[in-house]
Amino acid sequence: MTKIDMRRYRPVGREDSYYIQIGWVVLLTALVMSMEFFIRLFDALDALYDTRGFGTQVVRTLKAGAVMVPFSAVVKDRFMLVPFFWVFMGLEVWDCYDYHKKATKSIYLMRRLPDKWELHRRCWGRPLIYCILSLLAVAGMTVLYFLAYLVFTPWECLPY
Amino acid sequence: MLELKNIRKVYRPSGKVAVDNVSLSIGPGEVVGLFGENGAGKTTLMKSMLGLLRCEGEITLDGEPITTKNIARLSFATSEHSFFPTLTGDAHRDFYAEHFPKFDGKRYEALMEFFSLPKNKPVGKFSTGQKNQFEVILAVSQGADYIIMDEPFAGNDVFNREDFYKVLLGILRDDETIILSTHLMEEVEPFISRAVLLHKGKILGDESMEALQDQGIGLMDYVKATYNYRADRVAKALNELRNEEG
Repeated sequence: MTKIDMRRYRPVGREDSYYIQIGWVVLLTALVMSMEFFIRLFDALDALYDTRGFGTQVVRTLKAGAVMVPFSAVVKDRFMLVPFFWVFMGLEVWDCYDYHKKATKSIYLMRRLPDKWELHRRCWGRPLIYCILSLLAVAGMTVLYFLAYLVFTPWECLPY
Repeated sequence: MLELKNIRKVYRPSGKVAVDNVSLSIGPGEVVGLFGENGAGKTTLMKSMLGLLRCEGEITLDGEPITTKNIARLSFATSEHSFFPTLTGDAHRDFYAEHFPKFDGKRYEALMEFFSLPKNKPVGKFSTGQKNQFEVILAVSQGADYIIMDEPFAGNDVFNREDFYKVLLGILRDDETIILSTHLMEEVEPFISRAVLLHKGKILGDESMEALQDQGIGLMDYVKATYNYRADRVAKALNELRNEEG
């Protein structure tokens, strides 16, 4: 498999900006916070049962005709912090272009390269790749949550 | 042949006309000095040639418009500097070699050696004079046919500049063209083959050095005559001031 050289997707001579670093913290926070899904899931599951007794004597019985809250309602808003990550990636793109005008005018060199996409690839490349990765992470976790929803919800209570 | 036809550049929103209907043809092997007062339009004209500024008119290189296909035939050294400050000299060499197929590594090495520039130190840590030298070294090593230089030696000492002019002319191929903007007219006079004078965005004079020599006039005299410079202006003003005070 061909290894992607990520250095080609960042401005020449520039390290990761704090936009990328803060962006990663935001994304990780967003993904961790999305795990609150499980609290909602178990609350919704609890609502399917009648509970009697206390402590070790608790008896749970499934309510007749109980229907589980749809998955979309349980997972709703769980990834609401992810768009903030995209905002940081947008700021990163802006900062990459600005980098070529700070200290020196390397923008003059970049704009007269025979490869006219070089500048744009270096400014847009990493933020776009990271946005795609964040979408994949959201998709992966959504699938995981859906599997958990299917596993924990009694078959007869599934709304589908 | 680099040809500019009716080039006009108006800056928005101020509406300032920086270059006004300039037409110019520059052939292979010429060393053209572009002169004019601050704000005359030299930098704007050079940036227009490189496509760094949008302008009205037509700019062609051997009859073709300047696009990504032929842009590598033009190089640019500017006093604003266009290198990457955190990158070393050799990293720049690699970057240029990757993007400019005709990059002349031997010329680069020879010039770095001659000016004793460190190859593995970030260019941003160079002195101002070294930065200027490095900027010019990259421009002349790019493998371009037309080397455009905008005040490349601002901040270099006189010996350094003198060295550079000599080395530059010594290493250039016969078909390599230099377009040099500078205020140091007397200094570059022995090295240029043609002088183009700009004033308020228009070409005020365009003469080959050979023609000037035939007429027996130096560059400074030509410039003063073209700009209608009145040598007695200062003396007159001082006299008037003295009379007012008296």
